[in-house]
Amino acid sequence: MLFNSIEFLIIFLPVILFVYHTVPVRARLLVLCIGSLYFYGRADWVPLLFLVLSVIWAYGLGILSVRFHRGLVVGLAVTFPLLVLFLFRYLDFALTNIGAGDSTRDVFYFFLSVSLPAGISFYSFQVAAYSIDVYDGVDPPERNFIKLLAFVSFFPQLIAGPIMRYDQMSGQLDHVNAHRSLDVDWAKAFKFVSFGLFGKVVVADVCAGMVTRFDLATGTSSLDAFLSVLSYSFQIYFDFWAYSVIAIGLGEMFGLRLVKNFNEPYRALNMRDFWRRWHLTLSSWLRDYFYIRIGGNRRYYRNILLVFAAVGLWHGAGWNFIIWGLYHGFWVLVYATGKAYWDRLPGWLAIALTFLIVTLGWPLFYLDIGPYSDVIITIFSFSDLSLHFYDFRHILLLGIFSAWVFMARESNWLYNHRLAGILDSPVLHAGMVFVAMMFVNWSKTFIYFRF
Amino acid sequence: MITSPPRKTYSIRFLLTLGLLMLLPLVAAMRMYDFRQDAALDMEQLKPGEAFVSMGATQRQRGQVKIGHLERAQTLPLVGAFGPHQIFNMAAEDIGLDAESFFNGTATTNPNLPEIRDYLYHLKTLGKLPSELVIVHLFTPANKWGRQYIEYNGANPLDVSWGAAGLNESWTDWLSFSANMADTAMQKLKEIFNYQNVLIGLLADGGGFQVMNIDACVAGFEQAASRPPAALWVLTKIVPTSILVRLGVLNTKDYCSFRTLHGMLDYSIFRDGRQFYAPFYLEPPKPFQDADTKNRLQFGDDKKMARYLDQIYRIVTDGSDRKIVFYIPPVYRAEEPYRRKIVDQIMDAALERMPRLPVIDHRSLNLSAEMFVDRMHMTSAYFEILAKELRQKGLLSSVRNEQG
Repeated sequence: MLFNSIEFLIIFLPVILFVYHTVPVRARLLVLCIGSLYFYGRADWVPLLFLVLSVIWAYGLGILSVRFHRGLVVGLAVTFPLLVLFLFRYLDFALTNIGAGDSTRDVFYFFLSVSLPAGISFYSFQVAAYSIDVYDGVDPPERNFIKLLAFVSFFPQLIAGPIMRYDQMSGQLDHVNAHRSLDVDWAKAFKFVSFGLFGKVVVADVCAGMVTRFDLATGTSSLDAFLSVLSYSFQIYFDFWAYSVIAIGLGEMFGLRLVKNFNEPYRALNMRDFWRRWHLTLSSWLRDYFYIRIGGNRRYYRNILLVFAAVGLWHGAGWNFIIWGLYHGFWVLVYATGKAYWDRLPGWLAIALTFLIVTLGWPLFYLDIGPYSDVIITIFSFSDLSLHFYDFRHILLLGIFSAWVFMARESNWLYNHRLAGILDSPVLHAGMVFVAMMFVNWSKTFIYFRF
Repeated sequence: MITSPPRKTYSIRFLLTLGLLMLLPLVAAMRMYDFRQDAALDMEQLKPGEAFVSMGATQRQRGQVKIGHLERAQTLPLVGAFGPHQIFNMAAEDIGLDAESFFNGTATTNPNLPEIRDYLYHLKTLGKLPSELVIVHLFTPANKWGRQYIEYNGANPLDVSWGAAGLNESWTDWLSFSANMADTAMQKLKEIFNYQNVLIGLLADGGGFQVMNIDACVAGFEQAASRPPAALWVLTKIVPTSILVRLGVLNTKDYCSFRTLHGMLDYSIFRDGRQFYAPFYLEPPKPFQDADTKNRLQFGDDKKMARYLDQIYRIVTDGSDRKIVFYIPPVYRAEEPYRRKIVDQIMDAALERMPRLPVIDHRSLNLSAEMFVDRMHMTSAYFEILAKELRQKGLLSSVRNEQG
């Protein structure tokens, strides 16, 4: 089910909120589980089955790993979700790269025939992190299965994060399971959902339409190619930002606070800074469970490249994604090497350069390496600066989105301490939800749902 | 610490405003004109070249015209084609029949396989099935990734699908049917919350349809060089044309006079049920891309598909001499091998389960650009090939009015 759907907004959300806030306190987690499993299994039962199996596996081995405290147990615990992730997500890619024939593919027919479960990369990482934290003693093993299931399957963050840690949620889940009174800030919740829906349906999806206008095959100019890439840069940002903001708002409605996943990433001063602002929970996951464990700063260059190759692979099973990850890794290393020079750049120039580097990498998300190279070559050929696919209206829209991204500080209007006037108006927020509802039929699936 | 807007009255003001705004689409839905009940839309009165211009009506309203026509038909067509919109421009003359003998019943809106079953069952219970041959169009597997064979698409009016509830044989059938009915109801809800439908419901009054001689009109705009003002062109993309006509921004004669507005005539419905579709004729089709052919079917779906196919076969043929044929058209793909796609394999498995079904499989005709108006919709050239094969199988030979 999608947040940007009538089914979710008019049926699912009001029903689950009503039930959640009216049932006996002890039944709340069960309601969350049932609602979340319905939310996830609505499209297909196979992914749901593997989600539940992953939680059962983590639950059982979490208890065993404390009793026996063997590396083998935690290894097994982590292996299952990652194996599920591999089978559904990377098997096809792996078989293609080893040149597997039809007979080999027939053996794996089941996994190849099931469409990629939405959000599998997100929940697999949550489950794996829980198992490692239990083994490391960060968290005690959870004995309440429903609570663990509620943590992993919590629908606001199940499909596209933020990737929560168990120690961030465990206390909150205990609270909602024990106290009648929940300190829900409905105003904040509605506000976040409103801006998120508007950002997705009106901004990200308009950008998506601008991206698809562009067609390299039918002849284009440098400026066309650049505007297409720029449109995607705003599309993916607003798409993922919107999801995360909606998730925070929805979490608030259930009395559960989800962590921030973005911190104005396009205002980053360099590529290292970018990864401290973009998809924060993935960055910290990889830092804690991968980068530090393979040696951290001791072999900085090698480990950075390994981590970013993993970042690329996490986003998709394809060489284009791996190259995208390495592209980011390369620029992080460039910054690390030339930090003394880069840091002397004026702030606006550092932001612009970082944004340009990030933007020129995004087409690898939707283009294979060949077409990607063609687009980049077209942009930098500067051969033709006329517009074939875009006109003044598109440039105006991109200008407005740029102003939003680069000039409007979220601390002033979203995470604001003081009232932001019209931007805090319930009438405006209701209007934004209504406008989003009127256009959801044209809305696209969140990009990060396939990760 | 985040400080939210004033909490005391915020929620009340938010919910009150949202509630008031949501009344608009509800009122619009209640005012929406039902063309299924409108006997004035009598296709039998249409002369050659004439059609009901339906731009500015919703997709559902266009479907209402077709289903309403069949429900009221005094003279049944000899041959009818049913299925999703992929063949909406299949004309009587393409298969060598006259307009009275053939009805393209495609697209109540865009029915999936179980909905085609329900639709045909509905027509059978009314005694309105074509009298000699029913052609069932199976959406190409690669198109929509196969989901069209097992799920509903909210295409039929609720009463049509609900009327077929008796076809469910087991509790699993009922479970699936109930879920599909819930989906259909959800589709209806989606149609309510849609700004274009809200505008049509609030501002149009059923006047979206009119009879026009499309052939003459097309001849006009082929020669017309004038372009509409840019603002009008943008407006026609955003606001339903029926509203623009009603507001006096657009005149119906503009449909023919502005070359770039010829899209206004799209989906106009002719006597034989086909729908006019112009713009893509002007450009060569683009091939189907590999990325478009994901799989949305799973283990065991071939059984479900086979059961729907069998039910359709029995609905059409039981108790009469009426014949049926299923066919699978191609989509335009420039490269092979498309048959390795899993959706195709599952389709093959379903057909193998039902060897008695007469099936024409044209998936392998995927390379001929002249058969496609775009990557998935066919030209007359394709339907002529189909007709030839129907004749070879003796399926059209019994049709009395056959001219070919």
